[in-house]
Amino acid sequence: MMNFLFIMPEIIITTSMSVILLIDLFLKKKNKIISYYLIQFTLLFLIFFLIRNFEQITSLNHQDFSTDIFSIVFKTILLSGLIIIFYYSYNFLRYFKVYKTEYFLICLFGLLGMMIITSAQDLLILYLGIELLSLSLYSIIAYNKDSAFSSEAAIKYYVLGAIASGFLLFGISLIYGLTGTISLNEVFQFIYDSGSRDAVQNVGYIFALTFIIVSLGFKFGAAPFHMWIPDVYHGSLLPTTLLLSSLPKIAVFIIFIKLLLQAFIGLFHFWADMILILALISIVIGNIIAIVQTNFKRMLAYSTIANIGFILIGISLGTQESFTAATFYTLSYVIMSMAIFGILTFITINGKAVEEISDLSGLNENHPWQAFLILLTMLSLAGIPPLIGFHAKLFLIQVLVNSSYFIIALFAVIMTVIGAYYYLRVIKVIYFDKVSTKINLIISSLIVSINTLLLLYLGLFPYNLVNLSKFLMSGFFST
Amino acid sequence: MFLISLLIIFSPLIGSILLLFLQNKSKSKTTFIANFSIAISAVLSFALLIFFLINPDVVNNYKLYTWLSTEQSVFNISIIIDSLSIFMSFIVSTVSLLVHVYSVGYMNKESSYNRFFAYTTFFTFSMLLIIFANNFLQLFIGWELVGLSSYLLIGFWTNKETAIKANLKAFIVNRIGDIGLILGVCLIFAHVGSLDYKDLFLSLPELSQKTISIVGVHVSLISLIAFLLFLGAAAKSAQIPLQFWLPDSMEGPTPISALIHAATMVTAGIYMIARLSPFFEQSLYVLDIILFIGCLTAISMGLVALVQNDIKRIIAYSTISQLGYMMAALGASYYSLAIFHLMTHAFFKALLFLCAGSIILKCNHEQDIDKISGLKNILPITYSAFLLASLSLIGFPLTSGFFSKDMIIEALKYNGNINSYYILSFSIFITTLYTLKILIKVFFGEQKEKASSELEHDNPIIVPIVLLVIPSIFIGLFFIGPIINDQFFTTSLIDTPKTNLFYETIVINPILFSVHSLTSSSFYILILGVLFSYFFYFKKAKFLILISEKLSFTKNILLSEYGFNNLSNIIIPHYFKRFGNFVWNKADKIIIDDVFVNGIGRIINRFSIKIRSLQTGFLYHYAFTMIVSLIIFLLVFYDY
Amino acid sequence: MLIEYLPILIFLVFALIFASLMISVGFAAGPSNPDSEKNSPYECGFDPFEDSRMKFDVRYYLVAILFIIFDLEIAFLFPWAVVIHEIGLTGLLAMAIFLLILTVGFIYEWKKGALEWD
Repeated sequence: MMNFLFIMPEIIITTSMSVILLIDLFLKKKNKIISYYLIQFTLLFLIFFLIRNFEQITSLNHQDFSTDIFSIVFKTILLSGLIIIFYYSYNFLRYFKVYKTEYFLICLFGLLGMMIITSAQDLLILYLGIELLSLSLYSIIAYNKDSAFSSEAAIKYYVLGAIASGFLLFGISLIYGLTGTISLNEVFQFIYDSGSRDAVQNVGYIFALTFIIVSLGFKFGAAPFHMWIPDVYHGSLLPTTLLLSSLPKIAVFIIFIKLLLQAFIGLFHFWADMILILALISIVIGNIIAIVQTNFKRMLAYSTIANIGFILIGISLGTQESFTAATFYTLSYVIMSMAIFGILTFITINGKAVEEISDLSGLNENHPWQAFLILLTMLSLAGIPPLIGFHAKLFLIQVLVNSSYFIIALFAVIMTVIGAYYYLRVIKVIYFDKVSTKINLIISSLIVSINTLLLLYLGLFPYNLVNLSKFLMSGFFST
Repeated sequence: MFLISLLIIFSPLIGSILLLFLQNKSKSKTTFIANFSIAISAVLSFALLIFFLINPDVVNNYKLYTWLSTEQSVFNISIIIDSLSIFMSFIVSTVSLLVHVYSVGYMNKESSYNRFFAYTTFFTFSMLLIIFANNFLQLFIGWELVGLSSYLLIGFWTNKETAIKANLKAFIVNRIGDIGLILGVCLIFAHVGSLDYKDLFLSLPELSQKTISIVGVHVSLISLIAFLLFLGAAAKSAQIPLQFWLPDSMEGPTPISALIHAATMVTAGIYMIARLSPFFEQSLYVLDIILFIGCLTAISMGLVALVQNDIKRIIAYSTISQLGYMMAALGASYYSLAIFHLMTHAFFKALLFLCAGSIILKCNHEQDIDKISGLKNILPITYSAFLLASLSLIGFPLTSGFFSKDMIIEALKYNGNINSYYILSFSIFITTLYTLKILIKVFFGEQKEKASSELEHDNPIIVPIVLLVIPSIFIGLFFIGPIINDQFFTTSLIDTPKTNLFYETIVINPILFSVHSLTSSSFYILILGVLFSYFFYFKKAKFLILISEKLSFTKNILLSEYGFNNLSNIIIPHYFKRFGNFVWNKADKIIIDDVFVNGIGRIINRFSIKIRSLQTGFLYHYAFTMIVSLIIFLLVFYDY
Repeated sequence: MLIEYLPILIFLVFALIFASLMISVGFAAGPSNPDSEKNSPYECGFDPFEDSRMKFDVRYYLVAILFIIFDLEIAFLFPWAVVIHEIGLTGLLAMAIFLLILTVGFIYEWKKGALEWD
């Protein structure tokens, strides 16, 4: 009999999803909370399972589905992130009476996709994970059936996502045509062995890489393939935006690592500049358009684009330090993103969810602690010490300087300064504007406070996260 | 040890944060949090001191964590525990605790009670941060935080115009010093590659070889750095020519004056130089400058104090003058004497200020000593406390101030700095004059106030006053032996052998030193001062008044603080304002504002609106953009 | 290696040129005298009653989607049935799991009322 341990987490998720789906069908409306707790329990159990069987799982070496330390650590991060996101989302959905267990189950499908991505060692399995993730995202974006925005956003994302997937598949097929394999390691080996190539082959690689990178750029939300991000962030419910802006970013980052670092590192000269251009355009577009936004979620959408630009800079340099910095940036960005959307999910303005920045005016008057939390996240996003966002930007700029990309480093600094404007504007609104709305809190803010204070903690003690990033990246550079 | 020192530092910070978030809550809670958090610090500091005296092996550097590391250097956040930091934290936290207790009574009717304590606890935290720093990074953070909290506290009464001007002045003058400090620190970092004190000391032999060229002139690197650091210290410790912010800082509430003058701010400069003693020892030029500035400050600011009428301002000038003594001791390389004087001064000066606060409260915020008189019977406790503190300040034998101050003077003589010796000895005369001037004018003479039914000892502010009397008088006697003779500071200051030699030849023991002082000139100068003030202020002897009227020109000079007042209040503001207006109109408004700030802002805004219109919201536009971008990518990278 | 695809490329190029040539020749050479009658849609000689793009009831889509799922299931089952004795127990179990998951979906849609028209 085969040993299924290496794929056990995925099996557990699938099984429990099926079971919870069935249980939920037969629960009365007021008892639906049971399914929520079951889901949370499943996630906790999975974390426990991964930690408990860490040694055993990592020792397995499956050809197409790796269970190395890298993937297990990322799976644990994704699982714990999702638990917190579910906690925020549940309270929000419950308060606005739009709770359905299916929402969480769809998210779990997305999680399954992300877990497959972290383990995939094969272009097709990778593609399977990406599609599973994308499909579940399409559906949770459309979740808010009553809102025209929501449906519009979902349709846009769906159609564009389909195009992007088409590009990705086309790129993969070209790679298969050129190398005759879809396994990441074999692709690497093939490129490594073939050494100098003829011009035709190079054109083939460039075509394949361009299609793949464009598609991944779309999934990541890098400009000029960013068009869906503002509409989707704006159109969907806050919990959906929360989910979208956090975990999938990690997943797409992992795809970048797997493809560019593991498979195509031999083609570094081809892809480095492409990624760099994507990065620079993203930083410019994100930071500059964010300035004129009045909607909080749209503003954060553009801020996401800008931050992704920074991550891409780290990827584009292709060194161990730069990838470490990019990993650090991604992880810290996800924590920041979870913090800010987490805070927004439990603030209501006149009984509605937060939309405009001006909705929060004078928040400090009645809710000083919540105002302080937003202050912390905004300062962290703006990159002000001693918060984590500062270190994230610092490490990246340091890597740029060490690699002698002085102009790009300068550019990044200037763009950070421009970016600080719109973050600080939020602080201005919260602290100095007159109260104009009635602001209520849905739940007590213990968890979100911990999440936000984590920004401060990690800013003061960044070494835990730095070492984690170093450790995660070291595996790819040891050989 | 490590945990204790952590608690000492961070307990005030935690208190401060708690207070900030407990806004508009009950007063009793505020009182409790503020005093409790400082009390933890004070008690633990005391425990640490005792522990150290029993077992001097606790000296250590504790690394808290690594804040940042780059390829070239590592920045650790760590805590230094040695005799100097333990001793200083004992002084600071004890004085701070007493001031806090005092403030409970003093600020009782204040509406921003909570804000006040949030600031003071933060102030204490900042100072403790400086004290326990073992690298320039932490020193600088603490240094800036001290500046910030003093700014907030001096301008505590935000609707009082003079207070706002005073805190601005303090802030700006400190900023000048900070420039010196940060330049010095940058130079150190550039040449040593680390910000730890230890690394600086280790690389001293190497550094002393280096010179640096400024506009073609080669300057010894160490001297330059030492001078820059001294600039920082001079601003914080109010030495000429950066002294003029300190008297103005009297605009803040009186407990704040006590805190600034006694413990938490002005001592920072002295402390820094003492802490870096091995470094300053390498630059004799700068030590001479320090000695010179110290003597100059001691005498000239004492003279200014003579002509002042505001009780708090007199005490403020006296602080500057006493800081001059400490600087002079530092300049003559008697670091432990400077720290010793810092301690005794902290106690009696805090006491003086608290007494002044008590007087001011009694007289409905009247601070002019010409308008106050005859308080002896109304405020008997304050009177006796003030008397004792004054004795200590003028250096009456056997009081704390006597030991510390006379020792500095004797040490200068022993060391051969004869000029400094004469200047500082003469300065005693002046100190005596202005101190007794307050005492006589305020407590004697015609009783103007009615003896109210409210008894003095009912007021809670009297407790810390009484408590402070003890160290003001006796701490010198107790500590002189253990600190100066028993090589208390061996681990942190490098003057021990020198000071020890001085102690063994001149001081021998406290009693002998007192006896010896009866034969020294400083004692006779003191007696002379007492006599003079007796005739001048008490008897109002005619010929003395005549003399002072004849000297009205000198008086005006002194009143204007040798022109510093004009410089800082009129000339600099005037010309700087004109220059500022010019720069503002021409450079700032047109070039920077219109072209750069608003211009760039406008361009970015316009640009932003333009490219926002690309975000049309139509799906086919999006898809079109994607495909066009893809094609552009293909075309661009085709050639690779 | 890529050179083997050259005939296809040539073929594509020729197809493209030829097709565009035909269309453009027809466009350029043919007479074109449009009038309003010619341009209007032709519907058995009548004027059109309504827009030809009609709205369908959304339930058609639901049924269509559900149909596709089970249609695909059949598409998997046929090849599986052909080789069942070669793939043995593993194949049987795999298909069982697949059907089980589908059954869960089936129960879900039934219970949710997706199979009822009203």
